[in-house]
Amino acid sequence: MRLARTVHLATLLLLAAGCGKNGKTASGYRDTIPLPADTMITRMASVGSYGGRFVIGETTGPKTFNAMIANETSSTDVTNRMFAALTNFDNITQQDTPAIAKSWEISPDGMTGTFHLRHGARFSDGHPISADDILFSFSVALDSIVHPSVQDLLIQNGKKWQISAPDSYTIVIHTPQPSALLVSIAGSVPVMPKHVLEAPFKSGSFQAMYSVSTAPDSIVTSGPWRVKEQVAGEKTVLSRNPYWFGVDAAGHRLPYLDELVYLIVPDQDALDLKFRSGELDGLDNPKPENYRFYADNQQKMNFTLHDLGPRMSTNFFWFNLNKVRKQVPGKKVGQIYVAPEKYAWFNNATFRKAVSMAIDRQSMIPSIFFGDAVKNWSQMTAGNKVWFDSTLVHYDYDPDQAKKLLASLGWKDKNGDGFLEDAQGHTIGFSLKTNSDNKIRVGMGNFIKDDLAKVGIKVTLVPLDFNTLITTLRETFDYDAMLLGLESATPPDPGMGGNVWRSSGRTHYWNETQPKPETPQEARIDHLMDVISSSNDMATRKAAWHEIANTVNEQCWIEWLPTIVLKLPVSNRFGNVEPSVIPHRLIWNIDRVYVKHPA
Amino acid sequence: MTESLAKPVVPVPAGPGAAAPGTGRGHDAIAMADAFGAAPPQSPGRIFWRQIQKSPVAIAGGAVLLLFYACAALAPFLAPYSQEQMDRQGYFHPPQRLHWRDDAGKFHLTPFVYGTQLDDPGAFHYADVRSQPFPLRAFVHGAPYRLLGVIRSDRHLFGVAAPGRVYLLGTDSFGRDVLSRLLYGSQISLTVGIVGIAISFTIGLLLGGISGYFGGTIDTVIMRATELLLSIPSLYLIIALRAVFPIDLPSQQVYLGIVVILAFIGWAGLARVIRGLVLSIKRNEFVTAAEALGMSRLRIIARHILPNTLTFVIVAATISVPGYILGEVVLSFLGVGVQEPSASWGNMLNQARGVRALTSFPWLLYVPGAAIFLTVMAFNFLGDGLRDALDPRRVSGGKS
Amino acid sequence: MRTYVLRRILQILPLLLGISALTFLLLQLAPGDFLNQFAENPAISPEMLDSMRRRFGLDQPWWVQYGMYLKNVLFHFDFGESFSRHQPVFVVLREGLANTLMLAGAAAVVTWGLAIPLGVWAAVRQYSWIDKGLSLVAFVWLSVPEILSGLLLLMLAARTGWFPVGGMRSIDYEDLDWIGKTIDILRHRALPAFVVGLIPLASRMRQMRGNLLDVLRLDYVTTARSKGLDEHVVVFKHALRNALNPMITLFGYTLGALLSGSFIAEIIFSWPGLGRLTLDALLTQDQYLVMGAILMASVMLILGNLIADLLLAAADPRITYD
Repeated sequence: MRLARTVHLATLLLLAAGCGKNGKTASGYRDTIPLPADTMITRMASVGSYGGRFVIGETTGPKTFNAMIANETSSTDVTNRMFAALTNFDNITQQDTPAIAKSWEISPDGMTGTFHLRHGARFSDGHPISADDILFSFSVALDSIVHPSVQDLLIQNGKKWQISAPDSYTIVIHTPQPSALLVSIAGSVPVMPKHVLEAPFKSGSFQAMYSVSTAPDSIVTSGPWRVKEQVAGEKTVLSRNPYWFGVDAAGHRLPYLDELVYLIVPDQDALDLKFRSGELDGLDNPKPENYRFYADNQQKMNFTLHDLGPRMSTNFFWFNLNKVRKQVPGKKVGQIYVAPEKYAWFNNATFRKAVSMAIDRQSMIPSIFFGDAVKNWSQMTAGNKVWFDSTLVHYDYDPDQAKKLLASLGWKDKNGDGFLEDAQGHTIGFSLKTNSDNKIRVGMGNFIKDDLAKVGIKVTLVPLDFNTLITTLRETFDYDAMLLGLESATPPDPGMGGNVWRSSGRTHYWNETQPKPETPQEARIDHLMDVISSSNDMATRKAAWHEIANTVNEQCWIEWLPTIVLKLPVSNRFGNVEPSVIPHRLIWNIDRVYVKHPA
Repeated sequence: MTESLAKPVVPVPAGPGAAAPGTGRGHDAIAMADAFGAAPPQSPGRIFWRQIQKSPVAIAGGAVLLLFYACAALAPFLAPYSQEQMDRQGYFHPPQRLHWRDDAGKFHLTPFVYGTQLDDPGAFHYADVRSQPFPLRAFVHGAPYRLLGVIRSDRHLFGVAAPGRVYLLGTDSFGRDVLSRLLYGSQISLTVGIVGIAISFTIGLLLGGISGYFGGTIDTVIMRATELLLSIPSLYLIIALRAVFPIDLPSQQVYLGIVVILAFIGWAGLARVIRGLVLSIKRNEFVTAAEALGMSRLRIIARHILPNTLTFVIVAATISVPGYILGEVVLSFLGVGVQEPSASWGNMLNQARGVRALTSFPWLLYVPGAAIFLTVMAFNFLGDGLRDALDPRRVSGGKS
Repeated sequence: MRTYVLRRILQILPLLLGISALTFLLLQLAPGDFLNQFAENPAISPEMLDSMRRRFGLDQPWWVQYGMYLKNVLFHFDFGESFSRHQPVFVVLREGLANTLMLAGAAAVVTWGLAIPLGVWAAVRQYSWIDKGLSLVAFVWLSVPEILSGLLLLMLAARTGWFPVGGMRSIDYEDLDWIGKTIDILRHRALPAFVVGLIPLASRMRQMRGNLLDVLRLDYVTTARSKGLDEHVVVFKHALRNALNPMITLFGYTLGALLSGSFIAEIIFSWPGLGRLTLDALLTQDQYLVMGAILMASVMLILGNLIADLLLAAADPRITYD
């Protein structure tokens, strides 16, 4: 027993002694490799110095290092730093910027893009980057077996983009239809090393390449970073690509930091705790309930809380007007999914309007969002500086008007149970499904239920686990109304949202994959989407979007809910940190971030 | 299969939350079965009462549980508000103090609460408005309800006149009264254990009895099945089972789903021990006599053998209920249990996750946490007291 | 004896078969499949989803899938590929299992490191207030849900900074010398091990107490006492060893409780163990990873029971096995 106690005591002493913080490595980095002929002078606020490390938290580790097949943010957060493309995107100026292509011209008809590659650009193993690698990457992107997600952007109306290389430093892209987003989409295809990956691609094992168990040294990257270390379930560490062609204003090669560390932390609460204890250098997805703590402790804990305004991701719910499109046993094509009496209500714009006016969005904000949210009426939120439109039609909280509208449909509460009935005696009500793991969505569901009860509509909130929810959404269509949200694309341009706004779209939630537009409004929207995709004139595109958004709001196909205000805490130890509402909100420009040394 | 008696089998893997209470129970019950076989001097009921009175802790536990279950049954009457009522001006309201003395120093017989005003929305700070005392009233009119599903009423035990509000245990993020939700939530959390035990013990008793009595292939099959279930760590099995039940049903059926999952895990351990007990009881003379009389086998099992396992079962059941309650808490904590807006204790505990809740609104953790803790402790005390009271060594006056 | 051991080991195989079948069945019953989470991404087309379905064999009937699985496991020791991590299941699980075992081991140290001394103390001071007090405290511990104790300790860590708030190692781990590494591991492991270790503590303590009391009543102890031996010697030299014997077998059985217990601690303290892996895999329906994880957890539990049984058989000559 005495021995045990001694051990316990010793442990306590050791614990007291061992309270260390993260060690900082003084960088001895010297750039020994000659700079390429065409360096890329990267926009940044101030010139920095080498050394140091930035630690960010992720809820799961990357599933792959293969940028072409990476699908979810846990992987793309990493691979987007490792691989470059023809062009890049500046989150602050919201413009396409040169990357592997140093300049480009777009033909007046918007169907041809000529990109001039920079000379001297190299992969992380020193091998030169040339047009061959671009051609290779696009051929993988367009391959029907690999079928990466970016492929859908490279095919218009069933026809593929044509890529050719007149010489080793020029790439020409022909699009089957005019594309306003030609440059941005070209920048979505990561440039992969042909000299390493062509053989596996030909033998059919491309997807298995650059998995997370690949030896870091053998992963050849085209971007500012390469993999230094990968510990499953714990962390991913990137270090600088010694051949990166980006430089600062003084001509020093980027990146400044020695390491970029992704620490795997399973949930938001744990992430918050780690930030408070100093193990993380910033948070890109904090909970609104903690904003106050961050705001109050900026000085004490040496960080800055960047108030970035409303987020670009939205919250909303909609009613299920979907019809059977593919033959399934027990259902006829063209049949509706919900009960016919419910379909009669859901299909009535007056009903949808009344629902929108019954919801007190303002009162949700202090509760669920702890005050940090704004009412939002469009997918282009107030955080989208280029596309935000404050003049849109919207139906905000007005319960008296809502009651009037419902009464105008002839609905009364005949049996005194507090809920309205229609002419056939059905109680007006519906079930609202959302994913149970999202506290904010479930919270909004609670408010909606309570608000609609006050105008006589009975709502049953049904939180489901995410998998079941998606099955319901994608396959069974077994729901009355569903509450979800949509993240914005990069770039945050409505042209990227064809799947949502076109009546034929797969994510045209309230009535997907219509063979022909079923309402005149949706036909009009289809036409306007064509304008947005093909026109190059910003005024025309904005006018088209204005009409689309107004039409959707007038019809209340989407019942909008508040959007979170984004406030990101970042340690003050770093310079050139420019958090933005566009992903990756913290490290999109990590190649320019440096550790400030005390003066 | 002769090793089962000697092997100290952990008798009841009572769910993920409770600890395995110990070994050697089989021996106790066997000894007692023998003792019963030899006509006891007093009726078991009287002995039991005498013994249990020696353990004040057990009585306390029992009393607490009676109180809790009574509250659960009368929840709609006792709760000043309904479980879903949202006060849009009262998010995260801290618990209100009852006062008996007003500012002038005058003593009032009926306690009162002060009206409050939100003076710092960001911090959810409510200041007492001293000029607005709201005395508590008894049997006030409030939200209508059906007591026990039958009796209609709208009277509540206590409340305050409008526009006052009485949040004795504070409110949550939606402005819902925590005390009311605690009471309504107790209906789910407290009964999960009882219903779960009822199902799993019925199955366990039946299958264990059949297995022990008949032996042979049936015995092998049932025992293999129990071995299978017992070989998977309980939480892993619970989560796997949970994935099978899509929770897109109304709350009553959700509740049933959870209970079924927990019961599915619980019957295996009991079945094994019952089998062991049955094997030994089987050898007794009264069983052989019944067989000779030509009594049907199932009747023998049900009427003669199983009742002799009763004392063990009672104790085991009492000790197991906390495990089921905690099973529901775990499922809700992982976000896959009882869903909003229904209240359950596990559900309420989930509201308290996150540093903000723990530091700024600690009542969200303490209230359901204390309720769960007290319930589990009461069951454990009661179970321990029962075990001692039913221990044959004590009964026959042996060394204690 | 040897035949008993052999028989027990052979019994494990059909058991594992049954577990794998049960898990597979449960996964088939669950709605949807792994690809659901991609379905929500507007950038992914149905053609791509179909090709993934083909690649992972998810379009085959269930008996074909299960058959393929069994064949791979038995003949190639290949537990399949994790859909979400693009890695062999075995590789993914190996790491998680090692971490969980480390946690369970540390928790066991906490449990037994506290249970044995406290149990002995209670027994030696039977009926005193120490005994009653420890009894009460044991009950209190038993009644606190692991979630509560975990969250409260996490709060403690966040507030005081004495312990890191979750995780297994610091970022600087590799840069530390061996002392630093040990301290780092201890600090990270302390709280979760404590939380998990507390669960079986109460009953183990009671058992230790009970066992020692039983042994102290035996004749040879009375003899030793009447020989005039110091009480200390009687208890620690003679009685304790025999009282500890039955506890050794419990060691193996505790493993099951520790595996389940570490599940929650892993989630609260971000410990990258098997439990967390299983939960994630299950919620994303990463089929082969789930099956592998549950199989692995079960193997551990079965092995623990087996070792305990073998120890019991070796220790207690009264038990016969035919």
